[in-house]
Amino acid sequence: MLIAFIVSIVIKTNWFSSFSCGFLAIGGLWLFMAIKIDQQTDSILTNQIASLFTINGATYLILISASIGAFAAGFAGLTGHAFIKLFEKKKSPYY
Amino acid sequence: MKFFKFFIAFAISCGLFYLLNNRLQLESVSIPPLGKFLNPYEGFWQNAESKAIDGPANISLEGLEKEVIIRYDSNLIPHIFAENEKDLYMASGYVAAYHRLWQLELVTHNAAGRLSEIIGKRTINIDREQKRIGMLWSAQKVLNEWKKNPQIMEMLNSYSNGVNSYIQSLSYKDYPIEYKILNYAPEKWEPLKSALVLKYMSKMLTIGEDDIENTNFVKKYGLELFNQIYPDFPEGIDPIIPEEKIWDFTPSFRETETDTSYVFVPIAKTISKQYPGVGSNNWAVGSTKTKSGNAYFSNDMHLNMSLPAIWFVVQYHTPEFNVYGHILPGTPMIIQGFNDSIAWGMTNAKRDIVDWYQIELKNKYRNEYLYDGTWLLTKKIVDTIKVRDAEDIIDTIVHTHHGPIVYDKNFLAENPKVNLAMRWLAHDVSYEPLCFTQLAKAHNYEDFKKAIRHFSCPPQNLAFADIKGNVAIHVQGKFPVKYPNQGKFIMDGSTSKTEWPGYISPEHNPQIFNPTRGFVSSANQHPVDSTYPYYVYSDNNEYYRNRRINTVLNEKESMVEDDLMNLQNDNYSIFAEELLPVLLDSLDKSNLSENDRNILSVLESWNYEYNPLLAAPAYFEIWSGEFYKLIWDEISRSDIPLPYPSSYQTVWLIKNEPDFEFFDIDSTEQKETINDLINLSFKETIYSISDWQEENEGEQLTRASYFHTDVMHYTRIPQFSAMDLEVGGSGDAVNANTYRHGPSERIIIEMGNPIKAWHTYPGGQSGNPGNPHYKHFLASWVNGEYFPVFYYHEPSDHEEATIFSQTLNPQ
Repeated sequence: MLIAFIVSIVIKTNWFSSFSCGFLAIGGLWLFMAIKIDQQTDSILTNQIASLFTINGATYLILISASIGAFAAGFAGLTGHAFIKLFEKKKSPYY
Repeated sequence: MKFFKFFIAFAISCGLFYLLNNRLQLESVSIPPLGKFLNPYEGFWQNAESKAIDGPANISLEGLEKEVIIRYDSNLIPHIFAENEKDLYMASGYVAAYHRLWQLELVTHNAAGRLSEIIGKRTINIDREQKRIGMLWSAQKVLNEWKKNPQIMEMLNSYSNGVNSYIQSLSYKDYPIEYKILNYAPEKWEPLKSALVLKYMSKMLTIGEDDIENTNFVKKYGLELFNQIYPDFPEGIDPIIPEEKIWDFTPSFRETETDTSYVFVPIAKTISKQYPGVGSNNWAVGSTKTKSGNAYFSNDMHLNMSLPAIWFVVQYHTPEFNVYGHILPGTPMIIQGFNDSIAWGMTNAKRDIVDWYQIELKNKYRNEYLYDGTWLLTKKIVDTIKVRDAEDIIDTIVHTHHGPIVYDKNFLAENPKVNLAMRWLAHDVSYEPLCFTQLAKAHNYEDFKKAIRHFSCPPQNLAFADIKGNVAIHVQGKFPVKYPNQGKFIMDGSTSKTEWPGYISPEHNPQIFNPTRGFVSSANQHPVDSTYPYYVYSDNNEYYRNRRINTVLNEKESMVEDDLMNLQNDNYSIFAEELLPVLLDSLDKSNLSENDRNILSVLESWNYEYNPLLAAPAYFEIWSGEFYKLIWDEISRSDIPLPYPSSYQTVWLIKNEPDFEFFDIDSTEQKETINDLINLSFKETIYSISDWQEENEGEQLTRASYFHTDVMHYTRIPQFSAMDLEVGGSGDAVNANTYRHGPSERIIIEMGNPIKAWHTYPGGQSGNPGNPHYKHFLASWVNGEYFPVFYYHEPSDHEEATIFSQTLNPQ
């Protein structure tokens, strides 16, 4: 979460990009890894944990895992954007 | 406005951060920190494995002297080749931690009364009980003595270093999944924990006595009735040591005078007792009765079946010895196994080695107690039990020279006069580690006998077979010399007269070598008959499995391994054979509905086998249970703890004393006879069956569905467990499966050239639910099948069966 926050401070852009950057980056990374592990291990643990959390199926567990990382990173990015905006000077309409 | 937006975003981020990194308590369920747990790079995802083992092929361990080679066979059994014992045990510790780290910690925390540190308030009373019965105290005591023995300490220290080497290499992502779910980190290992594992086993196997219950019974009903219902030597028993054995030694008696005096104290609830089905079978068949002329050794130990499995299989190879067998994770010794020359194994030896003494304390300060006319000082140990997410609990335990006072005004006894001190054999210092290291190196019967002299607690029936075709069995333990009836009831702790004066020397323990019948066997029954010179008493003995085993082994000649495998999986119940005809005989068959008649005919045509898919075993279990409850309604409905009469003696009384006064049901006005009870219980059985069928619509009532044998993960998480297994057997059948107890392993060894063996257990070598080998043996165990044992002499042996090699290098 910290990295997404810092990135958004350093790279100034609009709020949507700040959110999406973190959201997609972490979401993508986590989704990729979760799917990879699930495939390689024949869902051996995915099914057990999904059932333990009363989630209906390995796929949902993968999506939930990725979403958690995605939203955490997304909001961190958004916070960074909002933080940096605090210090922006208002553009004077007068010269 | 900007600030407001920032504040919202910041608040959401903080909220998410907190939620995702902390445990959430939802009523009774704790959810692990989801941010960590669901992270594919750190969390549970990292525990999923695609192969049985995928570790590094080379590992450096600090403290190793020479290289250690480990070969894993296709059953994930490690065959450890070391140049010396120190390296061997270090490797063993590393391997045990690699596969079963969480189990190592959980079992030792349980034994030490530290479960509340991990789990919270729920386990406080369990922890208090463990502390009071002296689990941690006696483990510390024995370790202090072991510190004077360099051989034991080298073994335990090396093992500990091996475990710690593994633990030190871990970060969160490598933790076993249970740590992630419960959200805590592994702790450093130490030799004390190995001592705790041995105490844990002692507790599992020896706390089944009924001294308090016996005392309650005698106070209420008198000694004569007590002796009729709970005789020391019921008629018709088949003890471990056969009749031919002559006791040709002079015993060192203290007194032959019997003493049945007791001290009554009101106790409403007792400490937790071992499950009565905990026991085992073993037998060794000598060269005269086998086809090959080789001796065969069999053992199946009945314990609480759990996942990870209670046993871990391993082979140790050094220049001095080459031994294969079962270890208890947390200890390095092979408890049951074989080497190039001998095989050994055990069943629980029943003997009352827990006695209770009522202590007379001087006053409420509890600093002094009465003993032979003087006041001795007590020793108070103040125990702190740390509780997760709550305050520490302080418990003061008052120790006397007899042992710790377990029942007092603060624990299980409301009356402040009640102070019961526990005299438990497991409190004594003993040297079991030496026994097992010597057995690993033993070449013959003489070596075996020398080794087992160190074996004190829990007492076991140790069977033996060697490559020369010899067999033997020793009822081995450090048994106290008792006068007749000593220890049956609560005793007066203020006099030395009731104490244990000494112990039976190992040469005088029941034993036999190459009996004429050509085999030895044991199944937790009476060790001897009443001709044995010392007083022998146990609160509960086994009466059925042993007779079945002896019948089969007596009958068969030219045996091969299939005969022994069939016997280990034998579902025949002598209890059913002896009771059912009596029930059927007295049943009033007029006025039965068609449904009742169907059930009856199933029972009438039954062959007494508890096969998984038969309905008759379930019907009989229900009927015999209802019948037992009616006969012994005084006991099952009592509000004070009373001892449960054995099925065996119950059947004997029904057949020989049909007018026994207990058969009447207390709560009814009329006087019932056995016939009445049989008919009443049959009616109850019909109701129970139809209740079951209503609750389980669509399912068939069979042995399997009625007992629903489960093998549960320690946390009881169903997804990590194996539930509703389609197994057969009953507590009284050789295949002793009940609800959660049963054969925790089965092994058959042919002591030939080469040595051959077959085994299985309900679980797998890996303790990780995310590993394909977690339940590797389970299916075959359920079906009564076995895996061949790969016994290596060189690392290059059994190439086709070796799936992975690992070398541990000195740093």
